[in-house]
Amino acid sequence: MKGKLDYSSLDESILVDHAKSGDTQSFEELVSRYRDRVYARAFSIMRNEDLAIGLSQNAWIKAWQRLEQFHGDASFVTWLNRIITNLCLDELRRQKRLKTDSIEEIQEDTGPVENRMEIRDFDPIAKLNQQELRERIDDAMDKLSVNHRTVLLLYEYEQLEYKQIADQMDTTIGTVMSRLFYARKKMASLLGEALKKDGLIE
Amino acid sequence: MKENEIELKIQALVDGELTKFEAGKLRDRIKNDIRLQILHERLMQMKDLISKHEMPRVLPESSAFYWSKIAQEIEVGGSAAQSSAQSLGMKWVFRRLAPVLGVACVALLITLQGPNLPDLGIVLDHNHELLTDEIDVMTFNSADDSMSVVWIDYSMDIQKDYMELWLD
Repeated sequence: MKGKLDYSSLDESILVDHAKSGDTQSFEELVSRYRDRVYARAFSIMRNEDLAIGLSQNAWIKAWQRLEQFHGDASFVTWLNRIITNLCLDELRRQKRLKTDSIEEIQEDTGPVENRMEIRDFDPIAKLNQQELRERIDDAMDKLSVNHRTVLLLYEYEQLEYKQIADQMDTTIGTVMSRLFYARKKMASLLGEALKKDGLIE
Repeated sequence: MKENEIELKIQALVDGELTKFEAGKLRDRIKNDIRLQILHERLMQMKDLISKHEMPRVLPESSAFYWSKIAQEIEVGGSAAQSSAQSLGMKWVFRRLAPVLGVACVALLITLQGPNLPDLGIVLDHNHELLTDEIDVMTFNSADDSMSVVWIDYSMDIQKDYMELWLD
């Protein structure tokens, strides 16, 4: 008699292989391992809990339908992240939030170097613990425009190159570079304000 | 080089998007400019800070509830292997059948053409034919040009208008 399979102890590649042959329990185990990460990526881009839940579920459904296309060139979670990122970008495009430039974005090409990147000492940031630091960074991210945040996320977390981001966002490499620079400048400024609030700098 | 161009170049250097040659040239320039050195350092710092501190989040829904919607959808669509095989099968059918269906349609049109020719009482070196009232198909044959054109239209009104115009 066949013993009950302990899915939680199975290796990711075995689960993927089983899922490819139609085993939903293996797929459920994969969902249970990575659901938080997929949801986190969706939330980072969309900044809306309900949308992030719905999109992350759709990402899993897409992943199931396209499992045959996963050949293990990248890790399974990297592959999933690509799926959820694309779904989020599609959703932003649908909402037309990705193409409309805000006044902030129009102004991003103006001003001398001094004004463009705040020269601030971030050493006091070392006094914050990892969780506090993550919270400050996440709060600052929240204040960026959709375009700036998306470029930053695709670059820093998805580790895409300028060209890949330009393709994903239907824009030029120059715009990607400019948005990325502006996003970092804004982040520096927002983090500076947060440190001031924390009394870590004057 | 404009101010904003140099900023973006320094950023590209930090991001590893420059060629070795470009990077070397820019590094030389940064060495001699304290302002650019600070900018380079700050960009490195920001990149490091952001990339290493992605906020982890926990799904705010019970795992069973979250999974139930996914399970429902994938059960409707069938298994991964099945849906893949089905879609491959469908693709094969379409690829093989599409040309056959196309040829069959043309053959059907040619068959219908003969007996349904309306007697327009006009002798010309080319024919303009309305096949049936029910089927919105018209053909144009020109012996001079060795040409034959077939129209398939959903609007009979347009065709009638065209016929009247032509007969005038």
